[in-house]
Amino acid sequence: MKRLVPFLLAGCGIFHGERVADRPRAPIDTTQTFGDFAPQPAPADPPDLVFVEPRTRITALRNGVRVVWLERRDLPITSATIAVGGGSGDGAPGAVSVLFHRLQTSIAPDLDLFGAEVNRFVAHDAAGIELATIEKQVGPSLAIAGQRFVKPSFEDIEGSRHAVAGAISSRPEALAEDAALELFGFRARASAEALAKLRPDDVARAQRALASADDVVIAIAGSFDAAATARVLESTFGMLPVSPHDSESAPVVTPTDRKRATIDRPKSAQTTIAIALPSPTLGDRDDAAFQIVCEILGSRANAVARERKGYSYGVRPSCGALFDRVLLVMLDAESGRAAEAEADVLAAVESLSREPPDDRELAIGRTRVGARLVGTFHSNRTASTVLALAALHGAKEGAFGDFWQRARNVSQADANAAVRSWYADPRVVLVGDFNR
Amino acid sequence: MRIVAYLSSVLVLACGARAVSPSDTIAVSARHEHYWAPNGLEIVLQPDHRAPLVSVRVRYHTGSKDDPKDRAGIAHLLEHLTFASGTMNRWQELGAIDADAATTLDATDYWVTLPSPALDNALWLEAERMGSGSVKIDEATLAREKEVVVAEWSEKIGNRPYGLLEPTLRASLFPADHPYRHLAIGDPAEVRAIPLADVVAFAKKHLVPDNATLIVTGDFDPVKARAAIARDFGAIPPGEPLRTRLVVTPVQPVRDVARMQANVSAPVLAVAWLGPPVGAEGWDAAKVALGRIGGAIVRRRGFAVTATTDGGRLGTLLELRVRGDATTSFEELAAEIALATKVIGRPDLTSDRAGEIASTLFGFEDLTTRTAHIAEELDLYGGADYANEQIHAARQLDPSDVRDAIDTFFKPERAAWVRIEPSKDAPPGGKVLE
Repeated sequence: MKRLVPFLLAGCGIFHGERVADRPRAPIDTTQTFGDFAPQPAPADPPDLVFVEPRTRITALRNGVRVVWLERRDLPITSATIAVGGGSGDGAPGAVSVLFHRLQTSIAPDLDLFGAEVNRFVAHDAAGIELATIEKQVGPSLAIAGQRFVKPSFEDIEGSRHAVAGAISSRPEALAEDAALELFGFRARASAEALAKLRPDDVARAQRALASADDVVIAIAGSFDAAATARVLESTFGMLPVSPHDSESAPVVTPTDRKRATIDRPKSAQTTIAIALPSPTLGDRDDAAFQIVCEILGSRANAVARERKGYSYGVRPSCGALFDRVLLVMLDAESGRAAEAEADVLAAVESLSREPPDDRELAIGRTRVGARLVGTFHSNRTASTVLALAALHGAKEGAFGDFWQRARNVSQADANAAVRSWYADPRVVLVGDFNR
Repeated sequence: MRIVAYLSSVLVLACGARAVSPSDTIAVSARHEHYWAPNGLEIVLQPDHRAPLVSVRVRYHTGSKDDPKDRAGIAHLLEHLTFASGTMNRWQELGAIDADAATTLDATDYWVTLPSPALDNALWLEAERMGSGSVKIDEATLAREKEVVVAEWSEKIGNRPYGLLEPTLRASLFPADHPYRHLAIGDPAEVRAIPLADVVAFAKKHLVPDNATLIVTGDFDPVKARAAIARDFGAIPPGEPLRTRLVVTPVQPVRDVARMQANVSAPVLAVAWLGPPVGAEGWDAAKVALGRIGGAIVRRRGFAVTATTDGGRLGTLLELRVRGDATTSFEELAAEIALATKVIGRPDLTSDRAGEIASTLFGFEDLTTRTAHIAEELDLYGGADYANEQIHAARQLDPSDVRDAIDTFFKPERAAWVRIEPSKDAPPGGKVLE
């Protein structure tokens, strides 16, 4: 058994206990002498980043459920994402959030037995379950998830109702995010009022509507036995019914006229500020230029809020979320400086028009966009989720590589066009104590 | 220059059908070099060519345990000041996907994960921070970063649901002169009072190579990395010798019960037991025992339970938070916790072992997390092959160790309690009553 040394018994009295030691300093080579430190000349800027999208293949189960495979055997672990093409905008308000919480909590105890993990996500137009497991447990993990997914139980939704409500109401950033979605005409994930009215039937209806074979995508990334995994998927998700497809296209979402929303959080010493902007998704016009400009906006906002004025721990833009319809630039500031913080971040947004991004900013933004892609595909967890979302959005194999090519070619004119189209109508959400 | 290099065997063999058993063999390739520079800088290089990314972490073995009296939060403030001189901007320019710093009880870490062609730039920036960090601190930067730290305190403590619980528990468990009594972030009033001269002196004492470990993992050539490290860090002079301090780890809290009010819908009872130092005899078993106790409460009553551990080389706290429904009394919650510590005998640890092995592998996948785990392993056990060591330790865990840990560490006389009463008028972080 490993032990910490030295480890001496000592002392008596109220706080008697073991004596433990601080870490000693490292040994020095006493034959060498050291003068004052003079830094070496700074290295030149590194060469341009290279992103190569890993090869995937897409198959379908006999009922039409699409499966995206990203196979690599460098580590004995695997992640799988089961995503549906509907989210908080579908069904009774709050139903999808409760549905996926129920799914997660019904799967987790069984997966826990062999160390696998399960998480969930709910967006406006998609939701999913994420599994992470060691390679030998891919089959059992998917079998358990599949059984619950195909035949869930909704008799008791009280626990999920409270958990979902608590996860949103206790976190100012979650409140801000939901309010921002509503400003742009999207339905929030779950309000306390909606959750209170929700009945088990509503959740069951949402499950029946979303768990349709033609609206489900499974993405698997990592090390697995492809043939054995396919058999497990056929015997579980292959049982999902094919619902008569709604021939109507998705309803057009129109932004509201409201430019601001405030949410009172009594006695809060800080105000959470969210600047919200409409966002193109992967494959939309301006997608690459939009993401590069997002990186530039984040830098400009941080330069003021953190580096120059220091009223915020940091500005958090949601750059890199290639399937979100709303971009959020969030920060927290002491309530006394919230108005100044809001004005500064809005000024950073407006500066994109007044002082268009220069070549250096574009190069940095491009590098950051590429680095995010590399990072996303480096991890099995994030790779499986973006691959599932891409398939739900109808993206073809190689869509991320194509996106990177577009990003590499973004010019100043492209960036300016993206600024005009997407950054001209910022909305503001404030969460704080407004009755001081 | 001492060099330790070895190759761990790459073994990924069959596991059981449902769970990992002690006889299963799972391991990862963790080839690395581990050596010390002449100025005392400890270095670990672990190449991994899965993706064109590298992660660099510099750990200074200085944390809030080293904050002098009346200067709680100075280590964390220094972390902010050495980050504030434009480093973050440069990380962004280089395409960092994860760049940050953190101060814990025992250490201050700076890390960055970025495209591998930028490794030389990253090493140069860290050498600059180590060699020149204290020189660049001025009054204007200090004043600004103090406000940033106060904003961070609000964000993480004052504005979080019953965020004041942690400082309250620490104050109950550790005596006034114990290095772990205060949070790493410190207290806003004390932080605002820290003078520039104190920060500069603290930096000169601690931002030195013989107090640091540099870890590089990812897609790089170790020969070139060694040369770059020697070039950039080699001339940084070591610090003054320091005497190793011995600290008595308490086994009895200062205060048994404290009360708080918070804007919660039902009573929450928090309890923290004084545990063994991280890595000491009984630590692994105590972590498992804590999870088992929490699980027993969930299964019996369906209460919401959160189990967390915190601490370091000088002691730990093993914490449970249990939330009942609106009608549950604190006595009922306390009785459930007491019962849970008694009902666990010699538990079947199959799922615990599997969970530990799986989470080790998930952590290994992420380069940033991997460097953090390597730093931890070096700190506590002296080796850098954390993943295989963790997997081995998980396999060795014995049910009787867990029962022994419960009998040793989860005794009523080692526990401090905080009763959190619902109150609509309480601020978000809660209000401490006594």
